[in-house]
Amino acid sequence: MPDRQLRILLFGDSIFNNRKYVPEYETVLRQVESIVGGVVLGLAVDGRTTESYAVQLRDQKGLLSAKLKEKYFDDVPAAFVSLGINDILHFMREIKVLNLFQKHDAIEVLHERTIDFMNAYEDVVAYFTEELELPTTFCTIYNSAVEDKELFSVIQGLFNDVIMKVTSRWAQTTLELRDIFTEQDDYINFVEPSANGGKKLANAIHERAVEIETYIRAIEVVGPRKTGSVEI
Amino acid sequence: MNKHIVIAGDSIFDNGAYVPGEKDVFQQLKDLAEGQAEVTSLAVDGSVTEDVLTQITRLPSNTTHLFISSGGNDALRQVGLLSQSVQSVAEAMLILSTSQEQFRAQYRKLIARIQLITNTKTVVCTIYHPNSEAEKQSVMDIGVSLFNDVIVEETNKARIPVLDIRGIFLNREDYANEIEPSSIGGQKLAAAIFSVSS
Repeated sequence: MPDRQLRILLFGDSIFNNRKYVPEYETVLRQVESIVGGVVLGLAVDGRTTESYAVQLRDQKGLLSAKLKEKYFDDVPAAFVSLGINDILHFMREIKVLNLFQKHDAIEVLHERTIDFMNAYEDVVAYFTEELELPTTFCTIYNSAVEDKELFSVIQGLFNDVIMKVTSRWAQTTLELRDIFTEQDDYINFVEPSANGGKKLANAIHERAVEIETYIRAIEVVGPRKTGSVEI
Repeated sequence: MNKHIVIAGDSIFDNGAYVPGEKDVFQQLKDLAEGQAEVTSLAVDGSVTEDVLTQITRLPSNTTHLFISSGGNDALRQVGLLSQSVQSVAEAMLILSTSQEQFRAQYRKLIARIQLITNTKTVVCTIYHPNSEAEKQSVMDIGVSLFNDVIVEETNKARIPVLDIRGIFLNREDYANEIEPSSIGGQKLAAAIFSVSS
């Protein structure tokens, strides 16, 4: 009986693409590849926000889907998406620039931006669910050692709640990164995964992928493995 | 009949005062479970998470399923805090994050207490979004979301299942007023509880 190999897609931000911050062999992608022993496709881009993907999906959805399906989706992989932390960091900068003084404005701005994030996140979840038809696991936003920790934790709470609500609505699953990145040395700086954190994340992805694999058809990998990263 | 379902918490389960002449959630659940399970309510209208800790001390020894709804009244208190005069965004964020952490501390106590219960499947509910007036909706939504994130994060760590009742209370008719379940919403909630217990 031929070996079955998992196929995994990592999509999103620098949680999955931390090659600027750690040696290549210790990146999250390579560690997932090493643990999974299957095909790992990195489509994550350092710095990308949910909103930027949502805009891309609105403008170039057909093109993107054709490219993805032609190059990568000849079989059904398990997909993992990590998005949201850059949206928080952008929003934090925006709030400081806006220099809001009244608490009413703060609440209204928080509420409005949470709705904006929800709409963008929903576009991404819908894309993976309806367009790509992939069983996809969406990661929550982990903790960060930013300077303004009160502001971060409030926005993080709001955005993580969005992630839970939207993925639940689309019958997709989540992976709680706050349960994985629990130690200081899980981070290489205030916001990026270290080699140690990457290894823990890779193990969690493997565990979840095996669970997903029991629900989707088994895939026999034929021919050379396709690996590596691409920016979209 | 070995199954014994217990509901504890706040007025999401103890909504009798808001549905006069109609069945409350407890009665609706008893009707559904008739002949199949015993049902007990420990829930008390107005309870905050601290009160639920006391309720659970009265848990019947033969409880097989425990459902807890807690956090909504804690969130309502937060709305009062946000009505206070604050001078800056930073101050507003400090109030929100402090409220969130205080709720986390209370909820962790509840989870620690739940983990001491044996031979019982415990499920906790999220907090639904109130059917508020527009001017209060932003504040309420933020409070509910922040507290729900605490519930989801902490229960996930403790491997306690969550019933997301936001997926149940979707229409205006599901509410008796701004924050209480109507008999229509209550019937959907009772059905969800009974289904999870089956």
